[in-house]
Amino acid sequence: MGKELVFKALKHETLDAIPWVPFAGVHAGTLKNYPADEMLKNADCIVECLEEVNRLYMPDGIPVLFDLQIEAEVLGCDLLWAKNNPPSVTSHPLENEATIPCECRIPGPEDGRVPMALEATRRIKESIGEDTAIYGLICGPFTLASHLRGTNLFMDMMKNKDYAVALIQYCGQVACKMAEMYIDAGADVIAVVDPMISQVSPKMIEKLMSETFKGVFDFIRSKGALSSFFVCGNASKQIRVMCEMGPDGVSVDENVNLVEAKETCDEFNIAIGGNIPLTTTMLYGSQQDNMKAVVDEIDSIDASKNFILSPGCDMPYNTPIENTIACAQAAKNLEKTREMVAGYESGGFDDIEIEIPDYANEEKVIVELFLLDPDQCAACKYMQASVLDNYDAIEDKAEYRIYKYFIKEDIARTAKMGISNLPTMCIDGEPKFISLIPNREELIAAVEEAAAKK
Amino acid sequence: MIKLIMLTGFLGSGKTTLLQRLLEGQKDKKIGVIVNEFGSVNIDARLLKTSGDIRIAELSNGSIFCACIKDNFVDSLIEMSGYNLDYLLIEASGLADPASMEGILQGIAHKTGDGYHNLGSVCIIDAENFQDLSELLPAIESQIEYASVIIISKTDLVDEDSLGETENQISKWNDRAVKIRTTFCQVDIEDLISAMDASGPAPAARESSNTWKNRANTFVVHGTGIVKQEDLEAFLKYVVNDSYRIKGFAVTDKGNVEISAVGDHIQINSWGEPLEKTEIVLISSVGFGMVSTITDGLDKHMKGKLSL
Repeated sequence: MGKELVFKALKHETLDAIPWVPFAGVHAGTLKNYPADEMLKNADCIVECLEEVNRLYMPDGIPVLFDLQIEAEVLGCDLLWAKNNPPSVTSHPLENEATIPCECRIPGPEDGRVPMALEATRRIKESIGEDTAIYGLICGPFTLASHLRGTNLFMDMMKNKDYAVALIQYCGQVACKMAEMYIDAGADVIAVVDPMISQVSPKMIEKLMSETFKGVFDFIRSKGALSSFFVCGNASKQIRVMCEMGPDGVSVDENVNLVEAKETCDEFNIAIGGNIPLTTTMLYGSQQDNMKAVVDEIDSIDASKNFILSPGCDMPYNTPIENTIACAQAAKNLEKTREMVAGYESGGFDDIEIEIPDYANEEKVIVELFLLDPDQCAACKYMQASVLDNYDAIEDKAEYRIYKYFIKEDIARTAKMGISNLPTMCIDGEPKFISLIPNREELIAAVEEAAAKK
Repeated sequence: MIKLIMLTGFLGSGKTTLLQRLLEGQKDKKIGVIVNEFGSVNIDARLLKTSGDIRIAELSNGSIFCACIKDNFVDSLIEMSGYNLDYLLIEASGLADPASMEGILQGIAHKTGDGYHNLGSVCIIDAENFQDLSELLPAIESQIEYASVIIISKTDLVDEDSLGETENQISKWNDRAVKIRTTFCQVDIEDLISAMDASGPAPAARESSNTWKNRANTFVVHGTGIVKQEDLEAFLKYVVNDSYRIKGFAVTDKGNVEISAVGDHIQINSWGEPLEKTEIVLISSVGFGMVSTITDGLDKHMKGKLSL
């Protein structure tokens, strides 16, 4: 299980479970309250956040940094930092001169944020790499060329093709160097992330870029690592030409019809990853919406081979934790989740009699844990453990009850209590901890606060 | 005053061979050498290190006239000017455009004082490949244009007509240089210097044409184990058509070897010195796409033995 599942998918072997790779880039920062501009500059923060991603979301694979600006920054682009997003490029050093940067500018292990990224990769490999596939993300050659040249690159592609090709090839050299450094630091999979690919015609891609991309994927393979080609936007028309470049996998967002794209990938025997909708479902949907989206997605395709479940792209910073937990739950426990979704869709269990405690008049504080399946959902397990392991400190003042979302009565109770995110811990009927797991002190304080009201 | 001679010539034309000959013939002189290679591994410097007591500066990873390592080149020139040398020989990379050399020397005159007497450059032309290669890169034209002496090597490999054609083409670009025909770069240094003195002054310095348009991709294939010579040959045959030049050393089951390939001619000669590992530099004639040819070739013939 774990990383072997990811490897099986990318090696086109039969899958006995669904590989799940949440793209918790900046979103990982929310788990430990780090803004993006702090996390993406600090290996300690990245490792701390990714360990939490690993704990809560049970990933089979994990990207170390989802930041396509590291290479551009070394090559002289200015960056605008943000709290909730990766940085963006604000200046293009080659905007006014059609030149190729010197090879001595190709990022090395001491340049810009590269040492930080490599340190984070080495440490996270050491910490969770035995079970979880480590993804090193590099900026694709076309997107990097755009960072360097700005929109003039599109004019070059029409009027100055030799230059456009030379610049993209240079960016291919950068990509190989970055891939090599990540692989040496422990990355199992190199994701070549090139969102811009969806913006140009397959014909133009073939003419100006295919050779470079193919070279990058061949290089990664020669280094003994696996590769995936990430694209954003409606890349439906580009999937075929992407497959022809020979990556081990591609990854697409919700703009692409997964059923059709997977058929194309299957023709080439290449894995496809995706494409849980980022905003409509992961950011703004309910937990049930996320479970349903995952179940529906898996049921729509042949997921027995060449498939990795992922969000469409880098998850929004504020993606509710419980929504990602729901996706993990669905990926790891498909059958049970399918039943949960069916129950949710059938309108619930209104006919089941549920008695809500009269909290104010109960002698003890009542701690209620509303969970998915604590054997399958890591966050649920840790929330349950936070009460069981610390019960000695609260047992004179409180008692606890556990509800699991695959038991009819418990589903009905969850609905009646108006709880929409799991796991949630209620204290005397009040949702006190939603998705976040309290430590011993926080739990004791919450129980004492409720006891004082009695 | 140190007599300064630069050796230019396209990849594989025989610059290193000429340099070796010059060093062998001048054992009583104190000679410094600056060896410039386009790739990240300096093969030529290693070939020279067997030639005895000489002072060598290695400059790798680009042309000495390209902005990227020009600083190091200038530092080496200043450093060498402080030694008590008779000659400083500069072996430029095959893709170097020497047009800015005189400008560089003037620029550092305040640091080197009267240290250097620039005799100019000697350009070596590979008679066999000249016609094909001269159309490819502007650096070749510039190397010829700025040369005081032009050595036409490998004359035994072509007929008289073709040789005449080559000489005509060279004269169009430079009619003041003395032309010397050779087979294995057999030239005496004193003859060379007389010829350089006899030539007219070089054109005024200008900016080097070493820009992105004539930059070549280089790759290094390496490994620590012993490779089968027959697999090595198969690998080289597989990649040679995509390269301007291949050179390096390999540890094989038949002993250590030196590799040199130009065009589709591959030479593998036994190498008497100890080697720690196999290192082969490949200069692409097809751009970045050569990476795929190399990885395919490695996969077919060198799996687990050599890697990029």
